[in-house]
Amino acid sequence: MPSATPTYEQLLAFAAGELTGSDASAIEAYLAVTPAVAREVARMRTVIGTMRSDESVAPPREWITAAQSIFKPKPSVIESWLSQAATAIAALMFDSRQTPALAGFRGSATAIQLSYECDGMTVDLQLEPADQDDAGIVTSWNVIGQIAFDEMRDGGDVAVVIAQSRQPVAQARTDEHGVFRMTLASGTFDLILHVDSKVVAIPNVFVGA
Amino acid sequence: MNRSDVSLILACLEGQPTAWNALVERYARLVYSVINRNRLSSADAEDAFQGVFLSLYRNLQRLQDHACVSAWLITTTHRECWRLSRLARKNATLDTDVASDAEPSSESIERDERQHLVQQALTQLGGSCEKLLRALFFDSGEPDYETIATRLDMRVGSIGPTRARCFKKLEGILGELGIRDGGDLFDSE
Repeated sequence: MPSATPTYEQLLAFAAGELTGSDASAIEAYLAVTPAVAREVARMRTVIGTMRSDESVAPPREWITAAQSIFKPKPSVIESWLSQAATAIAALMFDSRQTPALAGFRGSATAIQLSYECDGMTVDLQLEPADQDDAGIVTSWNVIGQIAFDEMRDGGDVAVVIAQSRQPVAQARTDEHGVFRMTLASGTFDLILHVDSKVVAIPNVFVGA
Repeated sequence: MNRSDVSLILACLEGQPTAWNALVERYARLVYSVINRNRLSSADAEDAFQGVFLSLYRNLQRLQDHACVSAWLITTTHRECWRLSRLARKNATLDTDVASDAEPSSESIERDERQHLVQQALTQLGGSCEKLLRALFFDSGEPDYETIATRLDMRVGSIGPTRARCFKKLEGILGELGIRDGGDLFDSE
């Protein structure tokens, strides 16, 4: 027969249904007058019952691995933008701001010439001042772009999207000569060209003097 | 240290793949046990499993304020099984057995949550305590103390006191894990 105050071990044995006869009766009598301990034993019974009725098994390891592979880590800001927007990145080949002697070669002396290349494609941009403020600072630019392909291409026009801080701010389509036109404020932009099934990005185009 | 569900979800939203891996490990057994109860084909069971975790991934933002994900996962898994079993029934004879309801009862949700929490608490307990409690309470039939003592390299006479010590630790862990809306899943009142 247990002592007047059952030990934790005795209460656990009782909760597990392992006590019989006078041992069980003594604890029942004790619990009848100590509601706090009765609640504790009820809780033990719930936990034990949960364990005894648990027939769960672990899933196949390969299922867990496949579920874990769902997660895609957050890429860096630049990677995120480019990986989402482009299948190729065009490289800057010529910037007239870096070679002032050639600045007037194709257009007016104040025009800025930029040339990019990517995957058998050349993109020429000409920037000409459109508006200026009272201090004479150019605030917006007329942009004339021309897209030329190294090989004959059956596709139609090219859609051009201008983005700033990853938000589209302007768009245009090339004409039958591969030329597009738009006006942009001074600033830095990304050009996204939709060429057939490809998306070509020209990142960080500085429109300004 | 065992991280809470909220902590893991926030880490997932910050782009930490280890947090997602831990979340999947934590709930894989629960999701699988609900699926098994719905008697899907093995292919549908696997689809349900992946579908549930894909749904969890897509709803991480919405779940970051939830104290515990288990109830949401139980309900989502049940609905996914119901959806797949309905599809299977359309493609088979009318005799095909399907889950009767898309929504699980609150009793079954609580039962599954308790089982999940006990499993989680045992994993957190670890070591010889986890082994002893599993041997005593999970194996079917009456526990054979002689066999258990031999298997765990213990004296038969020490099993009772050790069980009590380990169970007390388990209760301590459950006391933290089992709180729901001000109540305790393991309190009968």
